[in-house]
Amino acid sequence: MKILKQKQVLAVACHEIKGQLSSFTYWTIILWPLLIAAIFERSGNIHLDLSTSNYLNLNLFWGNFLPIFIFMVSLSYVSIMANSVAVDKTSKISEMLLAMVDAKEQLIGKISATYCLMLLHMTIYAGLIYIYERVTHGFIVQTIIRNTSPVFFVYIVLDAAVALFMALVWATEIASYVTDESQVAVAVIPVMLLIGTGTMVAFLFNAPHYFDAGISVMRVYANVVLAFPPIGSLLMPTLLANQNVSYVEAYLNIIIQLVIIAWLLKQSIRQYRFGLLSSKKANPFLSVLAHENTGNLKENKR
Amino acid sequence: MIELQHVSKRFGNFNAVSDLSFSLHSGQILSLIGQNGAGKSTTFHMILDFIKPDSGKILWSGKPLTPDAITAKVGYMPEERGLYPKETIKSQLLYFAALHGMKKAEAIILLDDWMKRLNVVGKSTDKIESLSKGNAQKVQLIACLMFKPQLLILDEPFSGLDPVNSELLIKAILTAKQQGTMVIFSTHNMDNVQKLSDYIVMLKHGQTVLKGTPTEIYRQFGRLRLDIEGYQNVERLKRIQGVKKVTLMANGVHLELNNEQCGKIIFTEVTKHGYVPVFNQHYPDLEAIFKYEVHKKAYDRL
Ligand SMILES: Nc1ncnc2c1ncn2[C@@H]1O[C@H](COP(=O)(O)OP(=O)(O)OP(=O)(O)O)[C@@H](O)[C@H]1O
Ligand SMILES: [Mg+2]
Repeated sequence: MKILKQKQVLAVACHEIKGQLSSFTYWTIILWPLLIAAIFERSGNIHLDLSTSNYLNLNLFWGNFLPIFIFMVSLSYVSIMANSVAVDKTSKISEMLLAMVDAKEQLIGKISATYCLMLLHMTIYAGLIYIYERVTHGFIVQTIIRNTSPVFFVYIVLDAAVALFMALVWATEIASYVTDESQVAVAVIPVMLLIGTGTMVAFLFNAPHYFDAGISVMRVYANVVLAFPPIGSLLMPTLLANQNVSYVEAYLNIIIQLVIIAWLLKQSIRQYRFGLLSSKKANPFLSVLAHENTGNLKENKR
Repeated sequence: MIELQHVSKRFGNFNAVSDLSFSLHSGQILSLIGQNGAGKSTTFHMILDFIKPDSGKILWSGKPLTPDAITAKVGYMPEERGLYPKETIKSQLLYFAALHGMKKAEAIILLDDWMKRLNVVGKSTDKIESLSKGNAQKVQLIACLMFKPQLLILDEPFSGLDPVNSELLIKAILTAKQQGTMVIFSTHNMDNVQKLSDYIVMLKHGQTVLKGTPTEIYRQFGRLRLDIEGYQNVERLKRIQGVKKVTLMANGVHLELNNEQCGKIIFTEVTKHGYVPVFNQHYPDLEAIFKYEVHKKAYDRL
């Protein structure tokens, strides 16, 4: 039974990856940041003066870069994930699938697939950057990474993964209520609002003059608020880069977030299963957004 | 063996299924009949653990059905037909096979075999969206048959199939039966119920109104129908005690009786006047029983 479940997760993930690799959306997501990067490159806008780069300069860079990066990655992959769930729903295949593979395996399979796709995405970028720097003999990115402390680097990778995980879990849950593909965009909105808020606040924190004092006074309070995923994952890298929190706090934050996510995941598998089966009922999330009366969300139609 | 013991399900204060019990052994076919909204699909959803019954038990060989057992042993074709429209027949079916832990090579052989057996028009590399509704339905059927489930649940499998394809489906169901598969299906076509069922359950507003083997059910009603070929005097037949209704047909008369015994009197009466090529006192067909049960009031007699 265990083995079958692992096989099922693998099958779901492979199916998902195959589908995405042959989809226009995935390659667009990879391409358009490259196009923007190319414009900056052409107009000669990329210059990080590393000769004068002291620790603070680099931190400022990470503090600015990470929230945007996490926001972009989440936006892209949350849409992919929501879309994939919506396709299941609108193809009316959910019920049949659910009889073959439990919601849990479906969800885990889809999430693993999304991580694999993201990993491929990042590998492609890393490869391109490597080639670009080889050709142009500028080693900006390599220097940035070399000058970043490994502990910090490991942290931000973990942190980005946690933020994405939360966004994915949440988006899937909402998307499972979609009954029409045109609703996918709306399913992505609540998640993006939260992530967007986190990103904004991270930017504020990254202006140390305003927030240095505040954070130390409210440290306990801040740590509690920050434990809520994915706000923590969005803010922590910035705070860490600005040395507003310690590594102990930062890693502790990730652990707490993971615990919360584990709990949320359990809930969301239930919601996901319920959502997949609801073809007639209105999507509770969508109706809230549409200012409709949601009525009772429980399974009573009459 | 699968067994439902006093299973009930309410949605709000609406009884979708009340106190339903039946059991089915290996190699038996049960048909679940009833009007739209009678609770057939709800019953299937409970067996598949999509929804939990409010009371009662569903047992597999005496033990409660676990989610793992369901995915491994039960093949399900839902009422809502759907497959991934952009995929090919082959990739779609291989995905389902993988979810059941089947090896690819083995699945490919089975797939070709089933496509021939069910006479799916087209090649396995055709896209699902290019298939006609009936053909897509057959592909879906292959998906639930190819992994040799121990229990096959088919929700209105005949709807949308032409008579030739219905015949192929009947053959497939009977083959599965021979191999020891239990089959539960719902349908509105009483001919197919008559052809296939070892056991019939009829629901009306969630209540079980008929239950038993076809013979048991027919016996409940008795041989109250009589066909006589050849010229008959309708007025004379009408005057016989126990005759409820006489209808003149193209090649004779059709009688509805109040009791079985009056058949003997009619026989003596009509043979008195010479040769009668056909004298057939029979049970009402399922269609008549169905309609009767639907419209019946407490004092009615069929
Ligand atoms: N999730 C639900 N919430 C509320 N009511 C429901 C739900 N699912 C089914 N019902 C109600 O339960 C009743 C039985 O529905 P069910 O789908 O089982 O009927 P059915 O026998 O399959 O009918 P049909 O022949 O039309 O498919 C219906 O009146 C339906 O409206
Ligand atoms: Mg139904």
